[in-house]
Amino acid sequence: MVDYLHFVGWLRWFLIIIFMLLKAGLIVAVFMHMVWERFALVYVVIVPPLLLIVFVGIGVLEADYTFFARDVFFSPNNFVIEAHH
Amino acid sequence: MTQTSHATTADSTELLRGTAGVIADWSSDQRAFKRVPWGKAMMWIFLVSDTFIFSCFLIGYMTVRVSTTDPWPNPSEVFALTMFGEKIPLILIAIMTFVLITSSGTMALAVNFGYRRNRKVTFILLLATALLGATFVGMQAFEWTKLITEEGVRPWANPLGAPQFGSVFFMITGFHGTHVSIGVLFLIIVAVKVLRGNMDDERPGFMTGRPQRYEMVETMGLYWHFVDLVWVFIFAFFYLW
Repeated sequence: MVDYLHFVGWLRWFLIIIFMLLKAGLIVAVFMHMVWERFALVYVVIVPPLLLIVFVGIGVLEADYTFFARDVFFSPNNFVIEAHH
Repeated sequence: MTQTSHATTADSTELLRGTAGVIADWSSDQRAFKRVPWGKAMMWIFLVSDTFIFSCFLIGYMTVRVSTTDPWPNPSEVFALTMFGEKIPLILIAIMTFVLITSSGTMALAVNFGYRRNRKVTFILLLATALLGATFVGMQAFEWTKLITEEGVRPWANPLGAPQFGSVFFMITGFHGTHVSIGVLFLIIVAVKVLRGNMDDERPGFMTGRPQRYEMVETMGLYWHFVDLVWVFIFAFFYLW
């Protein structure tokens, strides 16, 4: 759908994330009966995956650094470092 | 005597709900998940661990996609099919998603009819779910074949752009497809058990020896909905992004 409407940039990402989370929440809450479960079980299931947000953050930092290093050291068009010699 | 009275009082007292219930459950020096069938609690714990596996794959995919200097292939062009003389982006993936969501619906109905102790309808719905799951795997096989033979994508190389695309694609969709395939097998097993009346007679299961109940259908449903849930994330991050 986003392909047909040619949404790009932040709007596209925002829509994808919103609908993904809405649908995921619906599946967990209704189809998997989470709304009617005991809270002890709900917390055990919902809380640990929140740690994944931290993991995503670490991944982004690391990936950005790797991209930066590759761009600086491996790019054939980059003569900045050689220019000093 | 004391034991029986203890059991009846523990069973008849109304359990606390909400946050107070959490504290009462964990501090009761007994089982934490009160009135939750053991199979269901175990399935949830397995699903949480499985969440971490799939999340690690998806986070790895993110890391690899951010850090590559080669251009990433546009998924809406790679996964487009030519139908009726027109190129439609992501059509196969859209159909696959629809099939999987439909199978989730039939699964939910199967759980419902299971608790109504309707043996025949539960069996038919479970079988329909298994069939839809098998359809999904079949279409995935078609998609893989097209990508491997026509586009020349390999786990270690990719003529369309970044080689990481191939490794991540086969890794993630392959792992998900494996989950669906195993789910189809278990759906058939549970369906046969339902049809034989194992749940109605509460016959002992062949592995645990415990009486089988219709909770098994719900536990099976949890797994199946989880597979659908994972697909939502794969669809969003891999095909739409």
